[in-house]
Amino acid sequence: MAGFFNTLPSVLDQGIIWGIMAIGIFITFKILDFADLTVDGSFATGGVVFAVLTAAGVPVVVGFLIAFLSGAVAGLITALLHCYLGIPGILAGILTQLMLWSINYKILGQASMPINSRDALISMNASSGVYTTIPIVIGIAAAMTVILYWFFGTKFGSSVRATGSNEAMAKANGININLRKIIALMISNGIVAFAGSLLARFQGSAEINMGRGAIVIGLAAIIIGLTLFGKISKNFAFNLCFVVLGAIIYFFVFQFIVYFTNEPELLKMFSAIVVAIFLAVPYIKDVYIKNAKAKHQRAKEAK
Amino acid sequence: MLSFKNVTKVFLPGTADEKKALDNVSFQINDGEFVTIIGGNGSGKSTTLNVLTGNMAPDHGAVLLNDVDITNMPENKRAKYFARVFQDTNKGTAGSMQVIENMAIAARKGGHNGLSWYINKEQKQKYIEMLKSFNLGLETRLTTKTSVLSGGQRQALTLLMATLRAEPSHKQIIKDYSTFYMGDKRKAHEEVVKVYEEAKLAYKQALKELSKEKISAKDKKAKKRELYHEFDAKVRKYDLTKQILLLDEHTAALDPKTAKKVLELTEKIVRENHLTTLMVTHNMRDAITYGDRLIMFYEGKIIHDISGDEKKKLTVDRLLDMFDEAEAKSLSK
Repeated sequence: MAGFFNTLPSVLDQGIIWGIMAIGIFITFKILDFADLTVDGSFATGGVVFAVLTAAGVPVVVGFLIAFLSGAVAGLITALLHCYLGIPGILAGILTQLMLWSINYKILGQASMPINSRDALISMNASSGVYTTIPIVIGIAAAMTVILYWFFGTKFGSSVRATGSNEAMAKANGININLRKIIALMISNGIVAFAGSLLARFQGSAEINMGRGAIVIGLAAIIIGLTLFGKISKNFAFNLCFVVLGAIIYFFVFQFIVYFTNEPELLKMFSAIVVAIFLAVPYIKDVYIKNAKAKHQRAKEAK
Repeated sequence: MLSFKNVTKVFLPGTADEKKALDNVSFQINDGEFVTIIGGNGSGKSTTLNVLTGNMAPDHGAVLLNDVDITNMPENKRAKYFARVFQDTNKGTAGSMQVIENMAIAARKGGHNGLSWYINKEQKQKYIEMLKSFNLGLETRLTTKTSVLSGGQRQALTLLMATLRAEPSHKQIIKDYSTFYMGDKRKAHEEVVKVYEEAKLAYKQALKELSKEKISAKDKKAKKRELYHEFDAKVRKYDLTKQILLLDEHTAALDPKTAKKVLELTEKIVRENHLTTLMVTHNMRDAITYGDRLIMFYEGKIIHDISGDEKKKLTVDRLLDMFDEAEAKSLSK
């Protein structure tokens, strides 16, 4: 049991880093109403770009920045496929994701690459690093929340929200919806790739498969966070915090399962089941439980 | 002035289901006219509005605003000239956004979406006043998401939003005036530029004189604002591009009582703002009661265009007779 508790700081770090990624997914999934599967690819892109750059001696902060930009370019590709070539959103994301797998391999030149993070502030390899990572990633998540709260409150940001909420209305009010989708997808994938670079730094390695299932983890974080805490506040900034909390909870539960079953391969199945259950709950409530209640009521009245 | 010149739109051309939604349709609507459009299902009423807003491109013909061809202008660029209210009450507002956010978006129609905060105090006050004047109880629900409003409230809000738009800049006014002026465009351009330069000069002169006066800073500021308003009003007189209101069976999804309320509100908004309006409706009584002119569509063609005293004398029975006549004619062909 003591062993389990010793892993928790590292789990918290991971939870927050994936929470930052989930904030990126929140932008497309919740605000733009666009299920963007690019993220499985762009998350890894962020990681491999960061690994290659820092191996070449580029400063860490610059590496993060360029990782963000590389993700934004990935988002741009999906947006262009969708907006100007008429490819349905989900398919556009899958196509970009597939492209990125090859591109990531080309960037890295191999399937995985270690990153020297022994004395780093963000690291799980040095035992002190696990603790210094916590305030740093919390600070990053908080800064991101503030920036996004501001952005989506501006004239441009509110026009992005209108595009996601009602395209017909947005167009009728003179909003160029394609431009809004492009910008939102770029910001979203930029954040996802940035989270990928954070994770690569934290783990001390980048792999071309590190983004597999990222979309599902992100959705799980969003759904868990909003289902458990959504009633507390409808405020946008709070919602982003709930998403990060959702990711943390997800990783704690996951760690619990892995530690006691000793089978980390279960992660993917666990993610899928969690997302399926949480997505199904509102439907079950609506269709089955309400219907059953109505039936019961009718039976009562018949008597 | 708004006109259609020989507009044709065919759906599914070359197939067994080919349908001429608009068949060589031409009409002209003058500024400030309130036109009701009536016709059966698939007669071309809604297609007319879709072609006007740029939602659909016609196969042949042209759409003219004053005498400028806007047929190829994209939908989002046309938004500042047209405001549309749909039958589906969910279509006109962004459901997951607040009442006030929706209004702020409508008020930027044709304007810029920069990185400043979406609303300021002055605008907020203005929107609250507007909502109050409509007496719908919406002024107390500013932060309510529009998806939880009733259909009638949403439709009223959409109507209100339709009348909003961004105030065009002086540059835009000059450009639009010279583009949309009917007649000698070069002369019009010279005229508006001359007026603008003179007004600007007078404004600057007045500012200079004001700076010499010995009054308190607060008074000076107020005076300055007054002077600017004077200057602004002189230029704004040349603002040619008023919005045209397109109502696409906008009360069809409401219960009779709410529908009546929304129609009365429509009448009020149209008359107060002198809006050029096209109202598509299935309800013959409404088509007769409201508007100054009635256009009847049948199988993609305009078969009647009634205005003035003749329109005032119309009855539902007479309209029904007209429909029967049209049907008999098309069957005998």
